[in-house]
Amino acid sequence: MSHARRPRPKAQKGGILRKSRHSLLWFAPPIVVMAAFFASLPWLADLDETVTLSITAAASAFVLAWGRFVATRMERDLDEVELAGQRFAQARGAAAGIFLTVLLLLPTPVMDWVTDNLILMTTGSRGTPERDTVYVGMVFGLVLLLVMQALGTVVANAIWNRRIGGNA
Amino acid sequence: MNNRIRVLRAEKGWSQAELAARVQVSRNSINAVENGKFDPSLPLAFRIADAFDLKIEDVFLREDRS
Repeated sequence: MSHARRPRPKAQKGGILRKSRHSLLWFAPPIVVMAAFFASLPWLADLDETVTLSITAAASAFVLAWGRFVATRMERDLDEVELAGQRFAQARGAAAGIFLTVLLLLPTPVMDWVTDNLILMTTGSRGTPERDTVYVGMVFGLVLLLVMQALGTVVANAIWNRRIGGNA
Repeated sequence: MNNRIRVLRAEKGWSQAELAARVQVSRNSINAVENGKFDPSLPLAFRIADAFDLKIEDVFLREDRS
């Protein structure tokens, strides 16, 4: 039976602040991509439909792929107890995130507000929704789902840590 | 599953952090195993037993026989 395991990096000074900055760097690329995507919506609305759809799909694929990459990268240094915590958090967090998204979009005023703003962002006026609006709506829904899942994962992770206890 | 990690650590004068470093897991993980909140895998159980120079059954005990 192999006991070989990658040595854990030693704890460094500046703990939480350093970790926060480190995490921010890891999550910066998808945030930048999505910010750029939403900022360019008025310009995208004037482009050819195929180009708009391609850019939308590329942005979505990048965010999904980056999320998977970061999760895999972060799991690399975890031991089996931490991995169990991660799995607990992911399973509960994903379910809670989907549930929260549905709950959030369920009230008609919220859905109307989201739809109105999507139309406003893509057409510049509160007119009839166009196809672009549908595409943007799909991306928006996806991003919201991912954010809610991430939030759910953070909360479930906190529950796990509380359950197994952090103090001697 | 019960264990004697706390007693064995005390005998050796090791902190949880020291044992964690020896078996290459986090201190929180040792705490979870020691308090019976998490049952370790066989490889980790063997590493912990090896750290104390004991057999696995001298460290980990079945609940109905502890």
